[in-house]
Amino acid sequence: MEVDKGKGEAEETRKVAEADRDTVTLKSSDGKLFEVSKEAAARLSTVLAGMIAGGSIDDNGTDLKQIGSEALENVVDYCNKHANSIPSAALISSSISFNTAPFKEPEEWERKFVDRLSHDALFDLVEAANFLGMERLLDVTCHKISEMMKGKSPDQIREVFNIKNDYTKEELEEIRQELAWAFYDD
Amino acid sequence: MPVMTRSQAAAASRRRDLEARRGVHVRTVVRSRKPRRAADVVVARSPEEVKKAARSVRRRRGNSKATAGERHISSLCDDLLLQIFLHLPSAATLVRAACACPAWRRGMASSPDFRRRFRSLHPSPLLGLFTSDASSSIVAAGSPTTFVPTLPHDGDDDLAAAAVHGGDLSLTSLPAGGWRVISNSCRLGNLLLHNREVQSLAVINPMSRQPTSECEGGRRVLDLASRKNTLGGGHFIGAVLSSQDSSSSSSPSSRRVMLVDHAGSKMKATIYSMDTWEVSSAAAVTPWVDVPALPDRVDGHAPHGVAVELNGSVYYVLENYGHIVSIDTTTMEFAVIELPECVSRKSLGVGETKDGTTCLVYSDGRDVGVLMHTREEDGDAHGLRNG
Repeated sequence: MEVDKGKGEAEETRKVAEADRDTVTLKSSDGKLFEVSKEAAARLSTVLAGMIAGGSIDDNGTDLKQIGSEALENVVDYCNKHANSIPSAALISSSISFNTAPFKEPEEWERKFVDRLSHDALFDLVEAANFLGMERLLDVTCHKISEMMKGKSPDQIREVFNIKNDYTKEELEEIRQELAWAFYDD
Repeated sequence: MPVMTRSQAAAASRRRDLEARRGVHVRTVVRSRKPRRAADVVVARSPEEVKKAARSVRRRRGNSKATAGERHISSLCDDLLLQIFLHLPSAATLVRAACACPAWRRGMASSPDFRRRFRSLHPSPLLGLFTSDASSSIVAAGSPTTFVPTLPHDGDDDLAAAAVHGGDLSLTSLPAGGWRVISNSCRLGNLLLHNREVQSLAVINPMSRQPTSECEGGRRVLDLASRKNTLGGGHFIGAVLSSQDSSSSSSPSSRRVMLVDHAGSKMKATIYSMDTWEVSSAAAVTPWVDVPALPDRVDGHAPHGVAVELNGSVYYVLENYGHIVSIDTTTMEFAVIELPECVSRKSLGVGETKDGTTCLVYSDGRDVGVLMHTREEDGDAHGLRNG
């Protein structure tokens, strides 16, 4: 059919089709393609919003060279779940509380979403969220990692994250004395 | 809409994140947040993609069994680590995290911005207060200074426990004796204490555990009798100084105390290092300066005054004296600020407003007023509010 049409007309059709598409295709560093709703991508990621607005979205897969396929899959998964989980009332109340609350506690589905991730996947996802300017996902993932430190002794924190103890006894004692900075220091 | 590069957008995002945490709401990229029907946002996946996804889920599940995966938390950049630390529930948890890894601690210590954000997200609770009021029934016999804790805070058990275990709220590291808190002189977590019996002065940070023995190469206590005070019969007041500059805030050498001697109509100021009780430099001691109309005695008693350091000056405030004396902690210059008639016989306090401007608060028992000092001779902004 396109053969019969003039070149300009075909070009126009393609442009219209692009603008009408509901999804954007993202390409991970290892070349895998993922599709995500344009609306959710633009709403949840400042970087993707900028790219969509600026027309720098590639129909054949926008290259995200910094993000591996597992992390990108999680990002896309998050966007879908986020889009599906927000009924109108929750959306309105969340946009109000966002103005004042420093961090809104993760919702049940967000908690489940990060809880199933391995450490590896979580660290990758933090970086991906940061790279894509996904404020809420960054908050939720950072919060999850911070919860792994909550209520633990330094030894336990080292164990959780497999950190070698690089401190000497004297250094640790010194920090105990410096405890005050966390409260009073400028 | 202008095109944003990835890095610009990421920077904008970080900035906005920061603003949001500070309570300022700025959004550079605004999209419609209209609720959409679920059908609009369901993502279509090709069968190939679904298979791929299934494979990668299987692989991930395999990985999650290993407690220590290929990736290590140290591979995250400092900015992300700090972002994670901002989510910690309390300052006590933050300190424990700092104790887990030296690199984490360096990251926290090297970012004043992080510390500022952490504090604004985790305001320090009031744990209690120290009192040396002899007439108070809560002061234990034998010890003139007592710590009176506030009631436990919801959700701050963590912090309160850390304070009790880590701190020295009963001041055991001081030599035994009648130590009294010098009121209004305490700053930055440091208590300035005076012992009349042994004529000594001491500074202690009750939130940090300190060796009970003498500090290495330093003295914990200043022997007041050893000070060369050529004018007899006077009294003194002390003030803990904040650090000289913000970059060296954690350096011990920057922790200083100013003592203001007052005898007759003359005053003298000396700055000591808090850790060694040495005069901190040759320029840190002034000669006796004649201050006009300084009352030697008020109603037959030695004048009751307080000294407070604010924004690089120590303010010496005497009750029932129509002036305030300020001493610049850098130049050691004295200045006399004349008070308006309306406050000269009232109870006074010097402090700062929320935005850090020095102000004077006065009260006559019924009204509370605030005076802001300005550089112009006649520019005293004057606001009076019923209290």
